[in-house]
Amino acid sequence: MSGAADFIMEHSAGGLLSWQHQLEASERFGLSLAEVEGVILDKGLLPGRYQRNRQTISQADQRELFRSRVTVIGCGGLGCYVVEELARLGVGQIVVVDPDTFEEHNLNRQLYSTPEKLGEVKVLAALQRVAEVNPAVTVIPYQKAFSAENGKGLLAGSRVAVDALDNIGVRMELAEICNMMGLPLVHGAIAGWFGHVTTLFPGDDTLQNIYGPQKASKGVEASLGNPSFTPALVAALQVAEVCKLLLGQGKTLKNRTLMIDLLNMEFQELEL
Amino acid sequence: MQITVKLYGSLCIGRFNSALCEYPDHCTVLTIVKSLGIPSEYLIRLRNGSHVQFDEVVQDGDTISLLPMLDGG
Repeated sequence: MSGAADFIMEHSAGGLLSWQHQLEASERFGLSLAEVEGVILDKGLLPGRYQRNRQTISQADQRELFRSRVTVIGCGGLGCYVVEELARLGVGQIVVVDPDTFEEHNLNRQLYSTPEKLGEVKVLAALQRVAEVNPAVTVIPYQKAFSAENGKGLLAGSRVAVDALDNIGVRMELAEICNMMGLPLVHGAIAGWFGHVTTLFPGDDTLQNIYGPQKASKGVEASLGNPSFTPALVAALQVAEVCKLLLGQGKTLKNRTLMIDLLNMEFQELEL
Repeated sequence: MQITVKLYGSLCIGRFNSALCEYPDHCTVLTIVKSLGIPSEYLIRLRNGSHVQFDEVVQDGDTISLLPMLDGG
């Protein structure tokens, strides 16, 4: 690695190493792009792609993001956008869990769905997309449904979990497992023009407070549908929460539920 | 008796966000839901911030909040 480190130091300018030199270091020293990115960040430098992050996220924080693993449960409307934004943000390892393949009714909103990808496995589409967008990020895909049985294994090693599911019962199971594992969970749900976001820390029972004692698995999505913009917005809010959790910054939505009404452009907090 | 009814999300469409409504004494949460023409399925119901059953009797001055159960992802 010392040869690579010397090469990186030599070719950096203004605290940045260009993508071209990152590629060159990878080829010349037989390292993966992720390994090169690790060396860049360890040397106190920043890959050039993050130069517009710099005013918001410090070099040390960028390194922290790179060293982090986040698990995204669900790779549909919310999940695709969450994965995309985490990858562009520079989160080093993203675990993506979803059993499904793309269907025609996904095309109106699910970022990784295209007519050519109908029938393809969603988590593999996420893997391919991130390899194009930010090849230094490692995506670990699991084509399976999250459950109480496999949940602990899927979340192992992650610092934050993201709830991008479409089933209330499984959301509750995810919250319970995160609670047991001491893992923060960023929850988002959508239907039509509406959505909500909240962040749970171990011990919080916000999801039970939202959904109550009813044992429903489904809600109003079937009747309201989901347009393109609602998942994009709610996913962005979820990723902002993940970023703050990973960096220990700002004020999260702990014990607060942000209710989003895009029809009337109203955002309000509900304390539940 | 007077009940403050708060509606959220899709439930506001064609109705209101918040209103002080007049109901007969001893009416239930279900009476309020039905009076507003709101379907009773996939509905989160809070009485003064706590979850309630449909058959719970409300009191003068209570706030009943009704929220659609958002499940999509």
